[in-house]
Amino acid sequence: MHMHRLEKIWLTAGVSMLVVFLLVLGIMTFGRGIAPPNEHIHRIDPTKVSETPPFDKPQITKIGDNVYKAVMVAYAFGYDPIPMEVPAGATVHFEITSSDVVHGFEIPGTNVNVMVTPGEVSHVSHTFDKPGEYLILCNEYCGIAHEMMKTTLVVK
Amino acid sequence: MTDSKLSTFDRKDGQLVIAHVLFAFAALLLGGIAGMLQGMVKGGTITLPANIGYYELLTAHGVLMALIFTTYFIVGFLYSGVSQTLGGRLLPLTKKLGWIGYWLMSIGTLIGVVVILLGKASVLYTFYAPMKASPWFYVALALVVIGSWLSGFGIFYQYVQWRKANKGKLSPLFAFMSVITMLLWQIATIGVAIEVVVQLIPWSFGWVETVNVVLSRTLFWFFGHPLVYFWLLPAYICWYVIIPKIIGGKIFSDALARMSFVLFLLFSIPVGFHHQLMEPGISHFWKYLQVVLTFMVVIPSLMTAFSLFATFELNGRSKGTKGLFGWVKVLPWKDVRFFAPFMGMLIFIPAGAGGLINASNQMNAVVHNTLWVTGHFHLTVATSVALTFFGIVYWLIPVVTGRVLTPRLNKLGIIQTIIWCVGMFFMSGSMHTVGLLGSPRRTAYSTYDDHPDAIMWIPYHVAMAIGGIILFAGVLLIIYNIIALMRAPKGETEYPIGEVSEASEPTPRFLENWKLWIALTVILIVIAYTIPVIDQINNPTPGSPGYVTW
Amino acid sequence: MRDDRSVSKPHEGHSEPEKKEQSLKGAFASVMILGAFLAITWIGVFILFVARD
Repeated sequence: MHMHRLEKIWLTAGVSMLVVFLLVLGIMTFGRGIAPPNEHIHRIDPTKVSETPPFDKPQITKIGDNVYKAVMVAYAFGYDPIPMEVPAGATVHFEITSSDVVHGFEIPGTNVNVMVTPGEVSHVSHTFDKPGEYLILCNEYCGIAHEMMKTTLVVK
Repeated sequence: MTDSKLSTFDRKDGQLVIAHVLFAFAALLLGGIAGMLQGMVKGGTITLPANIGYYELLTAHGVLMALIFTTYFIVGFLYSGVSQTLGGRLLPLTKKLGWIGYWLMSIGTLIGVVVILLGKASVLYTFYAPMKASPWFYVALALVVIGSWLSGFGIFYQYVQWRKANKGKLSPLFAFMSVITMLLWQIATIGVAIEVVVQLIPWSFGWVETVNVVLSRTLFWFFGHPLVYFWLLPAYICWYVIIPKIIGGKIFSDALARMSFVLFLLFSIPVGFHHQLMEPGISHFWKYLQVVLTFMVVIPSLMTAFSLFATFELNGRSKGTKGLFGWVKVLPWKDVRFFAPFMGMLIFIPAGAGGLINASNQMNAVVHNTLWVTGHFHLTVATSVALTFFGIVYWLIPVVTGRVLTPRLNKLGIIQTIIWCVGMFFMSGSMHTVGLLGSPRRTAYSTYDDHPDAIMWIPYHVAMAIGGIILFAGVLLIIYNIIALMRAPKGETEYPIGEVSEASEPTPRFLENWKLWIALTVILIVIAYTIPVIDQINNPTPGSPGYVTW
Repeated sequence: MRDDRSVSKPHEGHSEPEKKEQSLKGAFASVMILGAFLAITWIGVFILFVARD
């Protein structure tokens, strides 16, 4: 099929740009570990969340030098545990599941933005350099009070 | 010279087309009312009366706009072009299938809308499990999908009969593109049909206790992404086939146009995971693979952009314009049949740019479930596709009803287009911005207990509300224009089918090798989906019971 | 640019490819602008993503 020279050049340029983007994204994912969340597949019976460790006791625990693990449960319409507080500079590894429907877990201003699906456990991490009261909200419609579903993480 | 002018559009076929078009715009009106109210709620200007929920309205808005308005208009438009180009009249079986499809879809729509407005299905148009709607909601959806299958079979039948009666001849471009569009739809809907019929209906009736949520989402998005190409391809048909005729030019390349549609068929489906990038239960590898395939579906749009600009430029040069952009001057800016679709084309540039960003693997974290996504699809389907469809009615209704477009209606069409663009600029522009700032989509009015982040979003939500009100004025005007078109003066309007430029190369026959393209489509789907889906079935997410959380 | 223009041929047919070579520059310019828009917006969000990590 004949293609005009300028169209060939355009498509070459366009495809090259797409390839460059894909390479950047691929290297970040597979080389540097900066990937979409939830690579590790970790399942749980969604009807037994309140009986299954560690989700039977949602809490933030210190697991290293300024490193924390936050085991959380999302439900209609809130998050456990409350309150949550860490020092500035803390890296928090969130581990969260839902005891009912699909929820979101978003911290505006950060890249923390994951789905919380019943039957699965979501893993996402973030280092909180700046102190403040971070809003954590549900961005996946989950019912009548969806717009009220939120919590906060205080970084001192 | 133009093709021998075909006799006036078949009256009976016209009725089928008009039935679809009018139903589509009735859905647009209802959906538009819902949308405006939603915008005003989020902007803090009104609170809804106790018996109407925000999420009920949102469900109605999504279903009516994204499923009903689109599907009905598309089927009507495609049937018109199939009638026109494949023999001048629909065959009896085609007409029958068209009407049965129409009635099935309409019964489904009616049941669905009633169930939604009764508050029994506030699950939004994506109806994610384990939120559990009334089983009649899922039955309604199934009826709409099955109806649409029959509509598609009608088009296939007409096309096959034409090929038999015209052995060795290249099929008309409009018809070829229509077959690709409905083929894409048939294959894509298999996913949502399995989700609805095998998983959700038994579960919502209580015959089955639990549902595999991850699998249900995967099946939905197997459908959900090609859905947007089902919307886009008919707009592309207008841009490729109709617009050259309207501007007095020629189609740049028949072969490349067909090639782009084949590429859409191949690469629109095996890409659903890019709507699931932030989810657990799917590995990085499969997400990335489908991201790569998604980037491939950008290519036929890059080809289309070149084809369209080339069509415009060659048209200009054939009329004596000079320079890089002289061709702009001779385009019929005052003709709504060009102007509205052109604005759709122009806005597809930021629309597509946003889409590329959305699909970019881990970058999706910046925008997932924020109002940026809402801003994005209001550019793609609610502007590029919708304005193109609006532009089509100004000749389609006259053609199929034996009337003519008046200068006054043309003028009103131009005004409507401008109103739409202004409203969308405010609404979608604000959505994109406030989405980057973290404001979530699908969320009613909230300040999250007066959190500073949420307070910062308020001005943007107010701008969205203003944009939404302007857009609603645009909805009212297009409805007025449609009614006026239905009562326009009688006369004869030619169906504007473009001719291919003489300089265009002859079209290679392999482009019409359906077995090859369907086989490749299936192979790509198998590559992209088999292993992750088998894993989702064999190592399933523990099942969830249903919840009614509204 | 090529030197085909030195060949003088009758108006139709043979000069078509030549005419096409010259006369799609406006289309080319337009799509390159489109491509630049895609690149700039993508890079913008990419920078935002990296900055937020």
